[in-house]
Amino acid sequence: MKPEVGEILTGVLGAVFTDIAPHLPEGYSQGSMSLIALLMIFSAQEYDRAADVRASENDAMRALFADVAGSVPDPDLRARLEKASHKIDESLRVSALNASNGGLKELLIELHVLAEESDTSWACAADEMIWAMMAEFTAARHLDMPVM
Amino acid sequence: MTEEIATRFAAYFEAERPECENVSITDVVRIHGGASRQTYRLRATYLLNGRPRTERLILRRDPESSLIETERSTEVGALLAFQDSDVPVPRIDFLETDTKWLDRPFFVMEEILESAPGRVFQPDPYGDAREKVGRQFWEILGAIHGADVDELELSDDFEEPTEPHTAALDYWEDVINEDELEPQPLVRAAIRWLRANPPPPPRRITMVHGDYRHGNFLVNEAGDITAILDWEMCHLGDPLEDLGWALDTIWAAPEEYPGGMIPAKEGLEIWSKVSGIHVDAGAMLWWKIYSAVKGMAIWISSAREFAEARNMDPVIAFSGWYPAQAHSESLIELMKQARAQKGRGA
Repeated sequence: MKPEVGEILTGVLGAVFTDIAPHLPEGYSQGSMSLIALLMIFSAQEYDRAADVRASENDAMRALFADVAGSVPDPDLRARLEKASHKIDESLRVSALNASNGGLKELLIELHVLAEESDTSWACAADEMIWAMMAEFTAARHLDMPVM
Repeated sequence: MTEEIATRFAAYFEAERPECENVSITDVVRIHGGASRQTYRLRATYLLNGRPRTERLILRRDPESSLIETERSTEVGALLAFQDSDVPVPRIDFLETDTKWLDRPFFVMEEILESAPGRVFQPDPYGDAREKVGRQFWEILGAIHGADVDELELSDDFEEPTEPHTAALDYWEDVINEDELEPQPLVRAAIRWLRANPPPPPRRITMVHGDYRHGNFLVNEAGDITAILDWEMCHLGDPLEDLGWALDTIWAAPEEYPGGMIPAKEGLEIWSKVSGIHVDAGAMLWWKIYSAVKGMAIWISSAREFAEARNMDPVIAFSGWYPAQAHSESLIELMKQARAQKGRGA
């Protein structure tokens, strides 16, 4: 599809700022239009990376679960970590990736709680890996705010 | 919509002030930015004892859905408590909970003229007045926290918490539990850290504004702060809660002059002098992390409001996205500091 969605969203911003917003009443209408323009900018940023961000997060969490599952003392959690680590994302639709992402993050929380409660070497290592992972996930979703 | 507001509020005004004749409500304009209440600017003209009068007013009406579930009586109660004090607040004219007038509860206050709020994402919002505004910003917060709560004549809406930090965290964790649309590993980890590392108890319980920050006060051209606004989240608690919120990097950037005002160290010295309260550096980290968690709770609620089409205002969509991302980034940095103290993540 050409133009790409991101190009469309950013491309029409000029019209929003120069042809539309100035003709709206001051106050709520103009303020809302500015926010809509910002949302378009963020949507353009997200469009290009959305599937990659989610698929990468899912892969990273599965790899972590595969790494640490064998050391997890709780047999139920260990089994669920192992099961989750063997799955793959069959669809790259954002909705499908979000669904698996949510399930994996629930498991990540459970694992993190367990790791925090233990002083064993695997738990300390898992805690460090989870924090590093959360920092990477957060950075990957960064939004560039245009200079206002 | 604004015409309907004008007609219906005119009827209310006449009923509440029978001494006023020929009441006319004009120039009704919805003001942008009120995510917790719908805010309108309007002009009331009428005859009093045969003489024409004009009042410029601000009407704040509860929305059908809001980011922040608060009683407007709490907000009004705080505004009334600080009338004619060192804390500049608008005069309150009406508080109405009967929904027959405007479908939802509302209150009305004077419009502070020739003043405007600083824009949150604008670099250097106060320009040459930066230092003057900054000094007042911290002096006024010191005055809020220096006020004796027993002398503020507060209503029963204000309860004194036994453990302010626990009450505050419980409240926002409940909001997250209720509203999250997706699991939040980072926020949950931060909450666990806050639970495991409580701050020392406050020297005294004070009024906490709850949303004291750059963007929530009005400044005139001379650089005078003319009104402290947005008291929706005010309550009694630990004054350091307001410090953590005021210095939250999401609106208090850049580091050299947070919020486009004065350096944090200078601001906190002013605040301490006015409030008479010492700043505990260890407790400040707790309250900064708490602030990021509280922010996340608000943005998580916002995302849900929008996703479930309960409030389709663009500000709700924006709130659910950009500030949530910014606060996540802030939490990562704050938790690095917190974990380094415990020998992890250094």
